[in-house]
Amino acid sequence: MDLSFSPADEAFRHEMREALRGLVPPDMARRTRQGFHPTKADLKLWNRILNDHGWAAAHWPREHGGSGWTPLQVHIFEEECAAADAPFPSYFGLRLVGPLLYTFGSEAQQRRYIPDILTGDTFWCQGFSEPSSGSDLASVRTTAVRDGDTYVVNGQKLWTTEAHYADRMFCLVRTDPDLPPQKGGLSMLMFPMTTPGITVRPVITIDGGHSVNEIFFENVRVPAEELLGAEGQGWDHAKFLLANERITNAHVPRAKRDLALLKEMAAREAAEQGGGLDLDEVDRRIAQLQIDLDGLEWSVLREVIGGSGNPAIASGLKIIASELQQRMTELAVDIVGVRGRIAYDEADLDRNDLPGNPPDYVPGLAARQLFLRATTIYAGSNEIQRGIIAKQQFGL
Amino acid sequence: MDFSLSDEQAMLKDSVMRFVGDRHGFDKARAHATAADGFSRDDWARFAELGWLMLMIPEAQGGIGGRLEDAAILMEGFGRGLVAAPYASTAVVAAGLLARAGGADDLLADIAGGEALVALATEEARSRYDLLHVETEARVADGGFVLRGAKIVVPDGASADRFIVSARLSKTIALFLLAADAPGLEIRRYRTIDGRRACDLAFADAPARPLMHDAAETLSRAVDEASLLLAAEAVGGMQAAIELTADYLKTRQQFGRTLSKFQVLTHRVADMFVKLENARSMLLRGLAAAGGGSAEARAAAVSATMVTIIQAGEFVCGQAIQLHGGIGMADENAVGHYYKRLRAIARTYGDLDFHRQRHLRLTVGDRSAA
Repeated sequence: MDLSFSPADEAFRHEMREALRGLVPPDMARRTRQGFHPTKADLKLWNRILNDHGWAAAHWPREHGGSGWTPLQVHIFEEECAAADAPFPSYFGLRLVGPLLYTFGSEAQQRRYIPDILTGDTFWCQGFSEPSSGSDLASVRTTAVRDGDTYVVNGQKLWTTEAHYADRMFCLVRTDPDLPPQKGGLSMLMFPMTTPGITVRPVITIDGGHSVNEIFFENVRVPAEELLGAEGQGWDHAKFLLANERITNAHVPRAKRDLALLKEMAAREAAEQGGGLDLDEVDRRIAQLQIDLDGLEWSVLREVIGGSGNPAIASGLKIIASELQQRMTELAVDIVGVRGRIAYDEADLDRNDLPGNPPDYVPGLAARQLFLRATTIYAGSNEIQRGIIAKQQFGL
Repeated sequence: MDFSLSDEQAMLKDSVMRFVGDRHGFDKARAHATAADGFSRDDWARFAELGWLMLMIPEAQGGIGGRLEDAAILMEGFGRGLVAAPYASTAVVAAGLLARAGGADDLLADIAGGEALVALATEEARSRYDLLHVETEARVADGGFVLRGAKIVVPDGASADRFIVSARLSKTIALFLLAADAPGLEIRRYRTIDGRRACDLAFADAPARPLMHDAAETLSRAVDEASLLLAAEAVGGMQAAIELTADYLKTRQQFGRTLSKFQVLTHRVADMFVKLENARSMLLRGLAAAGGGSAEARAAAVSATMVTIIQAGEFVCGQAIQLHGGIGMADENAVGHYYKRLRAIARTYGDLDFHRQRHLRLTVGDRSAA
């Protein structure tokens, strides 16, 4: 057991901090701090900058374009990116379909798709949830019927994040209506969003923002070679992704940055509001958040370095991280007081006559707090996670 | 950074788990709680045979020179088995202070052999966990030192044959050593809620041997280490309480079904597990901070650990009783004993408010650092 960061780790952190200095364009950094959904342009540009340095897929194995860093180095690198106010790169290519492809994909598929994921030239989205298939993912109804050397896809997806940014989708479909979903009824297909028969409609969420969509498939023809792995493996692919997601979704680097900003903001608001803000009470809440974030970080380190691979541990991380993210944004909105009620429009951010005449850190806070209600629902609701823990850890 | 156990640590874990598994069931723990000392002297002799009592004594002073992580492995096992032996107080805290003070090799040898029990007495009626609030006074008399004042609720104090006592010496805090039968020392022994034995000490010009002058930081470090050991014990206790609860849900029938069919109950167990694993992470983080870095960073980290442990302990062990229902309230059921031990740990070297405030003062509340 060695619980310390080695001098080499500290040197690596220093090296990365220096290397990242000035790399995030200032206006991009400001947008990241404000907390609205990242724009496609920002995601694309940051992906390209990362790739120019060979860091786009730092967490991948080296043979697939990764950095070859240790898991701890990757963690340190992501922390430094967050501290530099870089946006978190688009999830779906680098975090989800990339690892799916190099784990389950054919060589041809890997050659076709991975390079453009690394450069950020292709954006992906994930077709999982449906109107009647939320937490119960196995109940997917979108069908793919084999017709010669193509599949014909019909159905509907919902809550599809960044579908309006995406060039391609990986999509969980029912290929065999007679087999149980967990036993070969589901498969994973990949196709361009421009394929005829696909309609994307925005779903505006309670924050007033547009990050998710609903998608309709009407006789969408997908070549059979776009099947990932073999027909019937879709449930295995979904489980692989969800397990990965629960660790990454802890978003510790971002949370650490957010908490640092929260501390600065509290001090500035205290000056702004005079005696109106009870800074001692705010400090107490920040201190508890700090303690809980420390716990989350060490739980992530244990998992990243030690790698128990225990699904109950991953589920626990998801619960803690999602609740922590919510509490942090709730405190942020509480701190700014009455301005936390104003519905700021992202499109108006550059105006200098915003309602309530707010300091620059105020717009975006309320929207982010509202949107983060989703964290305890997505990637398997926290109730689903509790069920996983009870079953996997205790046989309950 | 590496979270895996070394071969030696794996052996240590294996032997303590075997000890609490084979030789120290709940019935034994309960019997020990009603015995005079509140623990088993036979177990203590066994600890000496196993080398556990010399684990934390430096090699130069005849010990094994183990690290705090090693002692934490034992403590987690003791927490699981409700082992009440004064391991942390004698074999780690007192042994550590004596080793640092020097000139006490004979006493260290007695500790290693299981022949001496030494307790640290810091708490006073008005100190409220503040190690720097010391009203007990030392003064020079007849070429030596005598103590005047009082200490309360000395952990593992009732069975100790020697005490290390913090006392004010002019403007600094010093540590003194005296025997339980020293003249001018009055001892009042009693039970604590966890079935262990503490004591109050009253000094009326009791002669004592000076161990260390200007000992504030040494004492602070020793007590922080003691807190981490109790945290490790708490983790072991919480884990056992959760396992007992999960097993109970699988067997207890109500409304024609086992309790495990009620999601409201299984989800509670999941929440208990999440808090336990978070507490375990904070234990590791605290141990890391105790291994290096500034005194302030260590103190802040240990308090963060203890806040988490205390919050988790109340939830986990409180809910272990809740999910057992009525039987959880019975003294013959183990879960209540875990709950009481966690409650006692939560008011030994600092309670929730103390650790929250110390953490706050050293981190967020320190605006000069911003």
